[in-house]
Parts: sequence; C-alpha cells; structure tokens
Amino acid sequence: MSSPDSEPTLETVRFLAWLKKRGAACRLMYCRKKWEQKGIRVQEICRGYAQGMMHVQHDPSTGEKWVVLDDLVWADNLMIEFGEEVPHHGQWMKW
Amino acid sequence: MTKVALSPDHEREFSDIPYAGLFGDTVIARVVEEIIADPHSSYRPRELEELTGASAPSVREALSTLTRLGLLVSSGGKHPVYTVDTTKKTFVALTLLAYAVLDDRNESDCMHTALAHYCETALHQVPEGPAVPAAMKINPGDEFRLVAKKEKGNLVLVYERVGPGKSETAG
Repeated sequence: MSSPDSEPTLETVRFLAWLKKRGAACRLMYCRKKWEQKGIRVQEICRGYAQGMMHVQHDPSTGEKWVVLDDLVWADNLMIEFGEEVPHHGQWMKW
Repeated sequence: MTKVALSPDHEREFSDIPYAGLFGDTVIARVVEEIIADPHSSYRPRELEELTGASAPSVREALSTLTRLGLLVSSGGKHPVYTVDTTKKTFVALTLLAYAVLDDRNESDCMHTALAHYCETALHQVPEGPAVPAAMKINPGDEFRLVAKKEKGNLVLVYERVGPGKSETAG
C-alpha cells in the first residue's frame, strides 16, 4: 500500500514514471484502474508528500478528473534515485 | 476513446492519444505506450483490453506483432502473459521518445536528463564494432568511458580514453 504521508516507495516512483511517460497527465479513472490493485492511492499521494508537485484537476468540458504531474524535475530526481528513468538490464549487472 | 479538452483552470490541453499522435491513435500505439510507461508489469490480453478500450482481436494482433519484434516476451502457452524485454534498444529508444514528446510540449528537459543518466549507468563499457569511431586506434587493454557534454546548448556524446595511453576523445 502507498503511504501518502511518508517517503515515496519504489512502487509510487514507478507510478510517477508511468505518469510522466504518458505525457504527465492521465485520467484519474485510468490511474485507479491500473494502480489501485498495486496499492497506489493516487489522490492520497497528491494530498500527501506530492502536494504541490502533482494534483487532481477537474476538466469541466468532459466532467472527468485528470491526474497532472506538475513538477517534472522532482519526478526526474526520484526516478534517478530509484533507477526508474530508463529501466534497463545494465542497472542490475555488475561489469 | 480519444478525447481532447481544454481546461480553463490551467489552459492545459488534456489528451490520451499515444505519443501525442505521432503514430496515430491505433491499438498498437496504445499498447506500446502502456508497456513502455510501465515495463515492470506482466500483461495479460484481457487487462490490456480493459486499459486501452480496444477489442480482443486487435489487442491480440498488437501483442503478436510486438512479440515478433522482440519488444515483448510471451510465456504461459494457452493463456499467455507478456513481459517487456528491457534489454532491447527499441525499449530504450521508445522510453526516450516518451520523454521527448513531453519535452516538446512542455519545453522541459526530461529526455536529456534520462539520456545523461542512461549514459552514466549503461554505456560505460566500450561498445563493439562500428559504434567506435574508425579514426580512434584501440589497443588491447584500453578503457573508455562515454561522457555526455553540453556544447553550445547541444548534448554531445564523446568517448574518452581513460585506460593506458594518453587522453584521447572522439565524438
């Protein structure tokens, strides 16, 4: 489970990476469909440690809610820290 | 499935067209976008049908194509499960493309950040064959590193000799 008030976990960073690679915005419904089964509570994260970096936005023209990643540099730093920027085989190989 | 809307809150255009429409809004593009964005998950056809909103035959066809191209690996026989082969250069290139599309829209620098980090972590061995410039003489035991440098606003990759012999670089 994600813990919104604590530090990001590998799974939440993978969620951020996913969001970023999908254009840094995604329908909340879609996020939930994919990530709730992995224990990620998107809205709780937005209200927790990701406050100011990510938010849920209502789109009045469609009535849908979107999750928007605002701070790409913050996400970049976390992804580098967790090796999720470009996940590749070499990261877990010893040369 | 595809919707584009203008939000008055931030004047932000929302779109779920894969790669900003670079490859159209096709089922295979949607599947590619999903598996590149999350390469750690295992994918079942049914799950991708739900996620992409596409029909079973079109998802099966997309999965078959991506498996044939080597981006996906299938296991499980009658009820296949697909995983992403992250060793494929196509995977790396498509990941960088996802950042490039985002950068072009937001004027951000995600692709360069990712590329520099990738060079640091993945390309620190001497590549074989034509990737090494022919003008550079290589002797047994030589060691190189690939360095990303910024020159006049452009990202330049150069091989630097760090092993025996004097310092030498080649772009």
